[in-house]
Amino acid sequence: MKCFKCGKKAAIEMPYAAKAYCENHFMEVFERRFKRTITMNKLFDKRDKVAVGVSGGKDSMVMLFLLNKMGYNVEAIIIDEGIRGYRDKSLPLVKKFCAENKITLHIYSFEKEFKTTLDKIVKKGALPCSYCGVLRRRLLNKAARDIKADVLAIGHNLDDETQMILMNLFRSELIRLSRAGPTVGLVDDNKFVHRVKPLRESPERENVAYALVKGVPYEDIECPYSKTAYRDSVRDALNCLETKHPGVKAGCLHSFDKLMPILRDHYKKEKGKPNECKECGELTSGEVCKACEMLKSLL
Amino acid sequence: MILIESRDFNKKVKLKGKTLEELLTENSINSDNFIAMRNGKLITRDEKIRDGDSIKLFPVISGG
Repeated sequence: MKCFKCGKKAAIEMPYAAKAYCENHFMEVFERRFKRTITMNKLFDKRDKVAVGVSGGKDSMVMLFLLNKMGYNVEAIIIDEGIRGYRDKSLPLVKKFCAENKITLHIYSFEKEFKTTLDKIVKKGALPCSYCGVLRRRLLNKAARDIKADVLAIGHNLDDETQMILMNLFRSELIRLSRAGPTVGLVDDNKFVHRVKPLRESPERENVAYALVKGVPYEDIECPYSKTAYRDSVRDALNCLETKHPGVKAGCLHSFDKLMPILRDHYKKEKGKPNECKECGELTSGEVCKACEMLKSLL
Repeated sequence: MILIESRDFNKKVKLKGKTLEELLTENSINSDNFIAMRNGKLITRDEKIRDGDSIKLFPVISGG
């Protein structure tokens, strides 16, 4: 197999584009797509302060590496959920990477903010992924707001995006789907920092390849609480389709992007002005936000 | 003999296949789930594998 651009021996295939590239041209194509996602969707520019949510996994580390390399004004945020044997492994990796690359790192923890840890939450019989998702999102938003970031970049890749689109479609969660996209959320309020996804067009396979070629460190240990049976089924089905019919993931994303303005416009009418949670003051559609509800249920 | 290393396994296999794809298939490894490197360089599935090669496999799906 030869590189589509230079004819040298190929290092990676992109079956969805019916092309293969050598390492150098792969990096060029990868970086150009990343930059295009940012500019075409107007996610942010060089004047903005970009908070980068990192976990130490391949996607967020590649995103942080690239944004820093491209000269964006970045500061990293990592959430320590308090998962023994997992977060304590990736935290040192992120700290080292940020120190070496002169990136300011902000560490926020469940322990400090919520006076509990995910390990303790699980011991009380709660569903780890539901609690972690809500509390992590809450804390990332607070951290981004604290550092006066204009946007919060998160490392969702093409696989995450297409899985999310299909899961919401299959569950008839169109309101939720209408809030998705390159910039997440319909709420315009100074308490809410918009989340943006510069990697949403990058297949996770290519994020791994890019990290390996560029020597971007990442941790790939499995979260001990990771039980996402439904997502796993959707992922398997999508991967099977992609192998047989390359391009279905990109097609799914592009179709969604065309539908997104219609969905957003439709559900804007149903969206009232957000309230302030009477417990914590954060934004919510009801009286008490989901995070406070969840924390209360643990008492 | 070829050494195949990954996060979850580490095994020596005999050279039966001619390409990476064939080698992985013969060892019940789904090539879609991994990025393969030989001597620190990415290789494609059609790459011919030689006896004595050491192949490192990196999982594509993260476990977070």
